Amino acid sequence: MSLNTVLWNVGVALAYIVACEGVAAWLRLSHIPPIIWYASGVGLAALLLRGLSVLPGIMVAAFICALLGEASPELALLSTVAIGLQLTFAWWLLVRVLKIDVALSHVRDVMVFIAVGCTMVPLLNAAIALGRDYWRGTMNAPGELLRTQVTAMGEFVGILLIAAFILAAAASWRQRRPVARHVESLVLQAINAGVALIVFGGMMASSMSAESLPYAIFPFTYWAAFRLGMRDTALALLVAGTIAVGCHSLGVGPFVMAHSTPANAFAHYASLYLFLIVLSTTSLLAAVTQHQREVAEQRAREHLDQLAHVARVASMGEMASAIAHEVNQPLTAIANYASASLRLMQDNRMPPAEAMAVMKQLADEAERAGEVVRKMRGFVRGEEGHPVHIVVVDLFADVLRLSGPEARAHEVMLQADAGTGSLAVTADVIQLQQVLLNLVRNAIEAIAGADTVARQVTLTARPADNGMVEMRVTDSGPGIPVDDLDRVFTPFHTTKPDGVGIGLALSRSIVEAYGGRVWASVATTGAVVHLTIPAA
Amino acid sequence: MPSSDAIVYVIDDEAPIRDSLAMLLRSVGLASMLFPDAPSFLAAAPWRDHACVIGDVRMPGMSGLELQDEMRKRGSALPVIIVTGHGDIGMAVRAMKNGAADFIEKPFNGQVLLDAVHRALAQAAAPAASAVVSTERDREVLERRIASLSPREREVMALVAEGLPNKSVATRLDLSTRTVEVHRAKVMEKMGARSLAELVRMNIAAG
Repeated sequence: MSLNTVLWNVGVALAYIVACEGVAAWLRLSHIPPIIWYASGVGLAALLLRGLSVLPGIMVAAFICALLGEASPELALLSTVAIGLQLTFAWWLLVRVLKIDVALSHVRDVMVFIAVGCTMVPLLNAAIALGRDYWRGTMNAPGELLRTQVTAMGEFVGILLIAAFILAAAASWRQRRPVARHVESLVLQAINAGVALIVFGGMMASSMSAESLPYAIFPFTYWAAFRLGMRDTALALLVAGTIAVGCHSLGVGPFVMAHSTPANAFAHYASLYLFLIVLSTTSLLAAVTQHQREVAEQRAREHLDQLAHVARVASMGEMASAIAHEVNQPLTAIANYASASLRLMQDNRMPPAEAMAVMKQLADEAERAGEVVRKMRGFVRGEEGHPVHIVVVDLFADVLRLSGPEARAHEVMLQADAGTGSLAVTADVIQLQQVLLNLVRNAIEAIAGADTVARQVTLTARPADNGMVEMRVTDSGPGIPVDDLDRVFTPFHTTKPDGVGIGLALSRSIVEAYGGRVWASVATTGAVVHLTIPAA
Repeated sequence: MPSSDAIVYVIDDEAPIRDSLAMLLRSVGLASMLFPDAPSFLAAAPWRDHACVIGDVRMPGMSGLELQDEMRKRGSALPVIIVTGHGDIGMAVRAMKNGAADFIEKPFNGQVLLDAVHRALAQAAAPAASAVVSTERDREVLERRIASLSPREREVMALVAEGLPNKSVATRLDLSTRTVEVHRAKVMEKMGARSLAELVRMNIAAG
């Protein structure tokens, strides 16, 4: 057994004991037992994530918990074996038979997890309890059936709330997101907890404690589902559910009926659990649906990118062939003239006048080859530019809008600072947009490929010397090696696996066509690309 | 020096190519007639018997391949030399299979073109009977040379003679490009081929 496995077993055992003993302590405090049961959810999530290798930890923890619960050693052993078998059976059904993705990334995974994963253990426990009642002859004792049913529901809700959170957290804890998302998440969780306390803690004026009050939680779990993903949704559900059950167990909240006795307050657990099941199921399904949509959108985007790349490479291949043809023509003529002249001159068959005419032809053809190369550069650069007055604020706004989807896809923050709103340059709008889009895209890709915490690309513009405006694209990526600072602008230099290495070279030729300059530098965090363009 | 009645018909859509070819031919005492496209050449029929045609494989209106077909339809057996640009080797090989006398890649060495023209004119002048005799002798030589190739070299030759670039041959045979280059040089040496066109011709003759 490796050290890693031992550590996982110890960790799972501790988590199980905390879940078990936490609820047990709460049980002793509350007026209205039984309540929600988390320990099975912790055990099931651990099995789903780590496999049967953590089963020993769960079993040991279950045994300790049973002893702490003042069971006799024989009974403790029996219940431990029962728990181990139940969890293993549920794990086997989910992973081996139904083959769910434990990251809960598809609607099917969530549905199977809820319908099978969360029900299996409570159902088996309920069956054991009913069997025991039957054997003892207490089957028809008042309240026994109700107790069994409510206990099963409490265990179901417990597994649903805690296991969904653990699975979602395990699937996404490596994911990085912008600071803004973290803030939004914190705000949401705080508001959700606050609303749950107000709604379930009986803090509303009693005249407002309508039966529909608990629905106030829905907007917040749906907020999490549509904006923040599975993990935040599951956390919001866990917090709201725990508060709701806790408050109810203390005798407050909308599910405690007026003038109720402890006996029928206990019965009202059923309606609370039903509410929590509806809330959790719909919210989790909303979250996974949104997740699937985002993944599909991402795929579609990548597909489009690939198509664009293929088109680019194909058109470059065609261009290479066309250029070869165009250059070959004058070269062939030159070779023919030269070789013919050589022969004629050797035999003294070429009068000077004809020699001069041939020289003229040679010069013309050489110039034609040069013209082809010049035209090609113009073609690669796009149409000849039409310089106009461009307000930098507007230019930056367009660039931000056009790069927005890509930045969001990589969770990069885009910012622009055009200084005074009146700053303007003279250039072709499309060309300058292309240059900036290209630079911003490079910056986003640099961040996307790196493990940086700060994910930010900033566009700035300031007046510079000699009637120029200097623009900068600053990113928080890994930067550019100092030796490469000059080389990044040379054609066909690329660090991207599928790159052509033409973007920065083109950007430079466009900017230089306007008399500007492009250069790169290294900032304290990331890379900076500077460019100058004549001010308007 | 070829007989003075020989003439070379040059068809190319670009004037500098036509003019420079005419001058090159004149430098070795060959007369030429220039046409900007295939239809105007076809309109100039009947052609002289002791002649050959130089045509670009890509021309507006009618390609070199189509021109060749049209000439055969009209009962002309004039040898046609196909001139190709970059990446058109496949088309040139098709032209050879279709009965073209030779193909030359642009930009070409003047001597290579003149050699091809002389061969084509000799073919046009040669009576059919002597051609058969030389074909019989050539066939024996050819078969001996092919027998000297290793199985791998034969595979490489077949694909190269289809006009495939080395890189494609390498992919087809699952070899490195470098290995294909070595095999290819060996094939050229063993077959006594001085140009790709010769190799293609040998491959066609060998069937």
